[in-house]
This record gives sequence, structure tokens and C-alpha cells, in this order.
Amino acid sequence: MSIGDRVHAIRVASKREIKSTLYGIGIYMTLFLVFLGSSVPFAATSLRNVLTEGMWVFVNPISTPFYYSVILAAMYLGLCASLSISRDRDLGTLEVLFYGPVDVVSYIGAKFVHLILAFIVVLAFSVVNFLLVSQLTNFGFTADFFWFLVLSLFLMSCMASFGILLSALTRRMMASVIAFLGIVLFLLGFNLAHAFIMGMTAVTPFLVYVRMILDNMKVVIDWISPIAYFGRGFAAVAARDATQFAISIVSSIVYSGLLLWASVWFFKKQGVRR
Amino acid sequence: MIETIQLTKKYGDFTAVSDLSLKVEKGEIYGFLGPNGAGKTTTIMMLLGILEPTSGTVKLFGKSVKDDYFNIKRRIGVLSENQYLYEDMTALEYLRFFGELYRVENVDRRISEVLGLVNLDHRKNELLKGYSKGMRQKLGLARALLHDPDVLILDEPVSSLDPYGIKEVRDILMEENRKGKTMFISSHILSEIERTCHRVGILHKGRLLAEDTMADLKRRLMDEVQLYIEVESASDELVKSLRELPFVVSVEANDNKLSVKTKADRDYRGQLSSMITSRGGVVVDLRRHEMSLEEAFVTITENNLSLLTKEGPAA
Amino acid sequence: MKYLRRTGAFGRLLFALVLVLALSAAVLAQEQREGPSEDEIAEQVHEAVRQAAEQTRQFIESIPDPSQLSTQFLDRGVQTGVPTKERQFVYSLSVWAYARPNTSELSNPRGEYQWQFAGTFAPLSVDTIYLPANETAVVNAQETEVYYWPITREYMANWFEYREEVPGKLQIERNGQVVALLDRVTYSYYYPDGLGENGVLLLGDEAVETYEDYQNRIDAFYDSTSAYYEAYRVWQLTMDRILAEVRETGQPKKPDEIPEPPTQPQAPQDFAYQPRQAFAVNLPAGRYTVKVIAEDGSVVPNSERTLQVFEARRTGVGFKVRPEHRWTMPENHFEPSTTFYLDGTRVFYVEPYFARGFNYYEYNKMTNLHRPLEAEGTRSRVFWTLDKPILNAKLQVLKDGQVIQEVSYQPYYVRQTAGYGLGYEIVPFDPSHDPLLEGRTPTFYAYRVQLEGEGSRYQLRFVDADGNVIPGSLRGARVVKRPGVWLYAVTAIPLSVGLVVFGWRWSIKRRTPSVPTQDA
Repeated sequence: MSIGDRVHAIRVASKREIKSTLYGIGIYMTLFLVFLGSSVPFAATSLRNVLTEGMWVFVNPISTPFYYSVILAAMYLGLCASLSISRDRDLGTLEVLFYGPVDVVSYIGAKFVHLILAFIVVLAFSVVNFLLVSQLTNFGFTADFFWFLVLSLFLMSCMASFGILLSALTRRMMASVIAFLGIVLFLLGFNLAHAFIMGMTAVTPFLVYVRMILDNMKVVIDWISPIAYFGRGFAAVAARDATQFAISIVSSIVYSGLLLWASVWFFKKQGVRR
Repeated sequence: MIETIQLTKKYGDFTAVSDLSLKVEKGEIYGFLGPNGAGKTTTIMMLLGILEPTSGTVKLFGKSVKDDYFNIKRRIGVLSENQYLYEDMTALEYLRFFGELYRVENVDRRISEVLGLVNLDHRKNELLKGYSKGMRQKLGLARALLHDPDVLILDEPVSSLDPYGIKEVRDILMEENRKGKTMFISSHILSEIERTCHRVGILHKGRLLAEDTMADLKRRLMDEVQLYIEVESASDELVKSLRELPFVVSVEANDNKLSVKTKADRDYRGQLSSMITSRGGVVVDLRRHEMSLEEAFVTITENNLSLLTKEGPAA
Repeated sequence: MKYLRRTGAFGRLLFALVLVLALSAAVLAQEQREGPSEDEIAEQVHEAVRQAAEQTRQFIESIPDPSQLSTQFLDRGVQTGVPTKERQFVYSLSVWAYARPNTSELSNPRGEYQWQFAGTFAPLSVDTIYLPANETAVVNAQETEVYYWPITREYMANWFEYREEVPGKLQIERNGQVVALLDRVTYSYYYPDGLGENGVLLLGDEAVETYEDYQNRIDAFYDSTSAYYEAYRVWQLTMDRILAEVRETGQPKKPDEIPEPPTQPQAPQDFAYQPRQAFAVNLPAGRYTVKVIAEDGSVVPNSERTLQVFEARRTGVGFKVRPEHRWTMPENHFEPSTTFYLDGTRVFYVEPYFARGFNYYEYNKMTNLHRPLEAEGTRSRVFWTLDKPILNAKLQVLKDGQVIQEVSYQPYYVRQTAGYGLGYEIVPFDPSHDPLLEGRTPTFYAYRVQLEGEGSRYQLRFVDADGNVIPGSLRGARVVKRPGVWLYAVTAIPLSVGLVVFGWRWSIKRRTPSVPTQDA
């Protein structure tokens, strides 16, 4: 099969998808809620600290709300990714595409490219929002902000490929939503439980074993969870560690590639029909 | 153009399509008949490469779909039974999308052409969400024709259409066929198949029961021929003489109108006419009743399977 | 089997149950046919009862005595009570480090980072030791009792009860080659200005001599103190006699007749620890292997460890900042990208230091080998140490690239404000202009910075005597604005865009056809 044909199919299909996303209200509502959600704690902590204490020292005051905005928006897009294939299948539009010069690889590729494009739109709005916040408050940016912008594209690819894999595994939209939310809640819950148990001071032998188990699980989960890739990337930028930055990019590419390959495989098993 | 060789599709113990071998020549309109669950759609999906056959081969333009996937797909237009559209798009956007996908040249001009063909040009800027079932069907046809394919695969192309729409679509298909397009039509509307198709294949429980021209198929299925003879006057003696003929199955008289059933092994009209004349009768009118495809279809799927075997009655 | 597959789990379970019942019935039927006599039955019942009683007795005896439970746990070494101690070979280390004190001290009640001789030990479970490059650290090889204390999640060494020095030499290898074979040397810690941040490690004869000198001075101090107390007693007696004479005679004494009290001797301000023996290790950065070679040439068991000698990855300037309104709580800021955010007109005092940035994990592990969880997850972070203060420099304040202020290093005094209200003011320490400051000493030295103007942006930097900018000393400073509700209003921008797009698409939906259609 011609690579040019695949690239063409990916380009055309992803263009349609991004138009559909931009013509809907979902992404705009999400961005509004996300920015509002990051502005409130920003005002309540960073800004209030300065106004209360008279003086406060930050390295990157805008980075933290920006980081949380990006990760929340990415999770929304991850949810969209988990619905992408199952929605097409439920609505019947999946089959129509495959009447034409579209194969599984170009279909999955188009879904992936669409999500990255949607994330670029998210980043554009984020940059505008936080530039305005900076102007309104006189809080500054550092170079870290822009490094994280670059890195976040690779990190988003992890979230996108994770969602697409879930969508390829589940046939119906409801199953996709449940799977995505269930997994995200589990990951968040696990991290909370891990932090809580690690922070306990009164230790029993049973708790020592529990800690060991959780620690070992965390090592594995940190390489499976797309959210953990965001955390590692942010830490690399905050620490200005070029090695970790490069590792973040490479590991994101490998993770995305593996999951997209798995998506193609599972999609072929599930088939195109409703 | 389209060829299947011992095509089979099984789902566990259930066989959806069994050993299907058919061939559609260039420029032919091939009708694909069968009741619900016969395996028609499964066959079409395998033709398109969407379903993987359990065994057997599918060839389009002499090649397997996998060998030249994108080029083969670009030469096929498909209209499915149900139209699932992107409801957040307008008709124009929808066709532009597929036009770009199929790399149609002068896509806007081509879109105007096909929308004009299906009489939807004035609705092209409306969201597809507001389209009726019939409009969706026509839009689907427009999409199938957009890239000027060599082969059209149509699954129930005129369902959801009113008689006016049916005629529109039929005219479009005939015109496209005249331009050289090959068509593979699956339908329940037997009268349309009869009117448009050169050859018909009849599928039942996954097996191809019959594949022949319309005329030959009907002939193969009739074991009797119904003749209507109008004579100047019909005497009892004449009727009795007719009944005594060895090839006559039954005679019913209604004044001077006779309804005669003969065996279907040959054409007995000449003998009947001679016999009536020799008895002093005058034949005013002699007509033969043609079995419709509907009658033939019902016959095939219920009873007369033996009529369709190779040792069946000669035409 | 085909039907079993189709019936599912419940069907299979039912089938198994029926099979068991059928088999049981068959066995019972068989026994019934061959059934025992009445005497045999009675004998069997009696035997069954006897066995049941025996089993019950054994069961009851097997239940553990609750009063013995804690002993049992201790016997199994479970750490719910007394932890298990194990004699192990350990390396003890002491290194001059910028660290938090292990115990709270009066001079450092908040446990802030300070330079000190920080110590740790490496139990058996620690395979890598960390030391700073090109600095002498004291390493000793010992045997002691080690136990894990889960409450604080650290290993503890029972030095007081058992501590044996392991004889031998310390062999250091790199890439398989021996780079050093060290004998133990005499060492001592010496604080010329008293216990605090200016400690010095002395080695060899210098350590011994310094300590001996210090001890001699301490002894002399004790002697002079005794002499002082004696002289004071004599003076007290003399003064009592003089006062008695004055009371009797009513005649005052002349000043030269009144003896001066004896002068109290001053204790030595410095401090020296008693010299000990250990290995003094000073290596360039790199990865080494250490082991202790016994006198017979063999390697002491469990003595081989990896030694990671690390150096600073970055250098810069650390700012110790005292805001005027909370001068008692200075903050340290090292990152060059640090920005000071101020609310309105603010004054703050800056004390710059040369700073070095190390790998966080390595630096903290250096003094926390006995805490396995310390510094976990910090390999990508930087740990900054404050080194020497920058004194002969000027602080420049820039706005829009132009120098608008230049500030010198000045002494300042914190004066309590008069009146009932609590408060203070920080004034330049200049006794020549402020007589109230006569006889006092400055509270601190710093560079004073005053910035104002809502929304203004400044830069701060230090230049040396030649006017060159000191690398790493550039910082930003901004006076924040109060955004009010606009901070939340900007979040509505994406929603506004979305509503416009959505409205446009919705208007397409509502367009009526220009020509009626004739469709189904």
C-alpha cells in the first residue's frame, strides 16, 4: 500500500475530524471550565500570597496553573479519543469511510492526528489565556513555559494513543466512557493511596508489605499511565534536566507507537461493522 | 470486473455464505436477490474487503483488494442500505470531504453535477441532520457517483424512495450503465431488478441457488406454460379435443376465451393453432403468460430447488 | 461433554453435584448390602467418639496462650516491639556539608540549613556511598549493632553498646586500578570562632597540636578562673573591711584606696574536638570502589562498596532575602530564574552568596545513607548550597534595561519603635549620624532595595568592583497588579469563540429551502 495514499487519507480524514471538533461547543466549554478552574486556585494561592505577604518569590508562577490546565484539557481530549472509534461505529459512519480509500492504519492515524491538532488548538487558547493573565497580574513567564509547550505535544500523544486504544478495544460508546473514566479514577485513586500510605508514620509489618507492593505497582503504573508521562515531563522541565527532557520525548514516542500499533491490531479484530 | 471464487464466510458453526462463485462482466448490471439473512450484505462486505472471508477469493478488476487497496477502492462506488451521515456537515461539505478523499478533480464542478443528478443542489448548504430518509438515500447515491467509479455496488438503492424518486434513480443508473459502469445491485424490490438487471443471482441461506439472465431463469422455473386463446366461437367439441392433446395439462373455457396450460418443455402455440383451425375454429388472439421474477423468486426459495440444478428441465 | 460446554458454569456445578450424590448413594447402597452386625456397629460408634474426643483435646491444646503472644512475636523477630539488632560492618562518614541539623539546637531552632560536619553511616543494605569532590571527608570502618527503626524509617546504630573499629587499610579503586591505599590518620574538628558555621577539619600533627593548645588554654582558663574566684573572694573580704571602716569612721575612702575587682578571665572562644583516628578521603569526581584490606591482605567481608564522588553541576549566586516587614525570616533563593513579586512599594534587603548546585539526590544521600527513603525521586533536581558571601560588590536595579539604582553593602540596625505598639524599624547603622546607635553593633549587613509602581518590572544584578556583572546574579522583580474580576473574565474567551462558531453552525440548520422538494 502506498504511503502517499495513507498520508492523503490521514490528512483528509483528520481535517474533517478537527472541523467537527471546532464546530462543536464541547472543546470551548471545556477550556472555559479548565481556565476558570486554574484561575481560582491561582488567585487563591500565588496572587494572594503576594498580596498578603507583601513579597513572594516564584520561579514559575504561571507554570503550575498552565500545567494543570493542559493536563485537564488533555484528559478531556483523552475522553474524546476513547470515544472516537466507538462513536463512529455506533453512528454507522465508520463503515462508509471504509468503502473508500481508507484502511485501518490511515483511519487510526487520522484519529491520532486529529487529537494532536485539537491539542494544538488547546495550547493556542492556553497561551492566549495565560498571556492575558500575565498582563493582568504582571506575573512573568520563563523559558520553562515554552519548553513545556513543546514537550506537552509529545505527552499529549500518550494520552491520545491511550484513548484510541480503549476505543479500539470497546465496541460501544458507553463501554468506552466507562473504561476511560474507570481507568483514570483508578490511576488517580492509586496515586492518592500511595501518597497517603507512604506518608503514614505509624508503621506495622503489614503496612511495610503494603508499601512494598504499592511501590512496585507504582513503578509499573508510572510507565502505563498517560498521566504519569505528564508528571515526568513537567518535572523534567522544572528541573531543567535536558536528559530527562529527552527521555520524556523518547518514551512518549515509544509509548504512543506501541499503543497505536495495538489499536490497529485490536481494531482489525473488532471489525468495521456495527 | 467482479469475481468471487468459492467464497465462504463462517461465524463459528454458522455459515453465512457458502462456496459462492459468481462473475460480473464489464458493463453488466447484476442483480443480487435473496431474503433477509441470505448473506447478501455479508457478500458485499467481503467484496469491499471490509469483512475477511473464511475461505475463497474475491477479485475486483482481476486483482485481490489487498494487492492494490487504494486504487481499487477509488474505482468502486458504494451505496449501502442505510445512510449514516456526518450530521454536523452540510451536503456540500460532506461531498467535498469524499471528493477530497477520492482525489476527485474539479471537485466543486463534479459536486454540482451529482447533486443536480439527484435533485439536491438547492439543499446543499443545509445540515445533514435535517435531511429526510429519501434525501439521505439520494445523497448516498451522489457520494457513490462522485468519483466516477467503474463499478457501483448498491445495496437496496431505491428503498426509502417514493415512485418518483425510484424512477429518478433508475434513470440515473441506466444512464451510468450506458456510460460503461458495471453495477452490482442487491435489492428486495423485484420489479426494479427485473427492469434494470441483465443477470440475476439468487442467494438463499448463503448459497447461490441460481444465476442466469432473467428470461432463462424464468423459463427454467416454469414447468407449465399458461396460454390465453381467444377464438371466434368455442364449441364443447373443440374444448374436448384440446384436452385430449398429450401436451395439454388443462383447458378452461369462458365463452370464446380459452385458458390453456401446456407443458413447458417446448413451445406448443403452433400446434394448438393448427389443431383449432383443423377443427373449424378461428384463432382471434393467442397470448402467453410470462412469469414475473416475484413469482420465480417465491418458487425458488420455497419448492422448486430441483429446477435449478444442472439436470433441471431444459429451456 | 458437548452438552456440558453449552450449559455454562451453573450447569456444570449441578452436574458435579448430581455425580457426587450418585456416587455417594452407590457407596451407601454397597455398604448396606454388606452391612456390619450390631456389635460391630456399636464398636465403630465407640471408636468414632473416642477419636473425636482426642481430636478436640488436641485442638484445644493447640490454641496459643494469649499471654505468650508478645513473646512469640519477639521470638519471631517481628518489629512490633523491640527491633532486631544485627552486628554489621558499617562505614561511618563525616563531611562538611550544607545540611539540616539532625537534632534541634538553640542556635538553630527552626532547623534551617547550615554548614556543619554532618555524619551518617552506611549499613550493609547501602551499596553506594556519596562524597563531595576535592574535599576531605572522614571515613571510618567499624562494626556495630544495626537495627531498622520503622517509625522514623531509618537504620540506627547502637554505638554506645557496641562499637569496634575494624583494623586495616582503606583501598580505593577506579576502573579496576588501585588509586589509593589509605592508613588511618589523626583528625579533629576545630571551630576558630566557636561552635557554628566555621568549622575546620584538621589532620595529623596539626590536629594534635591544635587540640593540645586548646586543652592547655582550657586548663589555663580553669586555673585562671580558680585564681579569679580566689582573688574575688579576697577582694570581697577587702571591700567588706573597707566598708566596715567607712561605717566606723564615717570617712569616705579615696578612689585609689578602693581596690579594683579582679578581671574575670575570658574562656577560649574557639573549640576543638578530641582527635580521633579515621581515613581521610579526598578524591576528584568519579565512580570508585572502596574496600578495607585487613593486615593479612584479605578483603574484610562486607566492606566493598561503590563510592560516588560528585562535584557541583552549576554555580551561581544565592540571594538571602529579608523583606522589611518580616526581617527575622530570611529566605534563600538560588535559581537564576527566580523572580521577586511585590505588592506595592516594598523594601527588602539582599545578602548575596556564591552558590553551587549539586545533584539533589547525591548531595542529600551523602549525609543520609542511613535513611533509605531520603531523597528518593529527586535525581533530576538541583540542590543549592550557600557558600561565601559576596561583599565587595554593588547591587544594580534596572528598569527597561537602564540602571536606575546602585546600592552598596551597608550595615543596618533593627530598632524597636517607641510606644505601646509592637513594631520595629530598620535604619542604616551610622553612629556618627545617630547617637542612639553609639556602643551598638549592626544587626545585619545587606543591600537595601526599594521598588514601587504597580505593574512595574525590574531586574537586579550584582557587579564587582570592576563593574563586571557577577554571573548568576541576575534576578527579576515585579510589582504585581490587582486584576480583580478580569482574571476570571479572560477565561470566557474560548467560550465566546465557541458560541460564535456554534451560533453560525446553528443558523445553517435553520435555513429554509428555496425550492420545495419532492422526496419521500
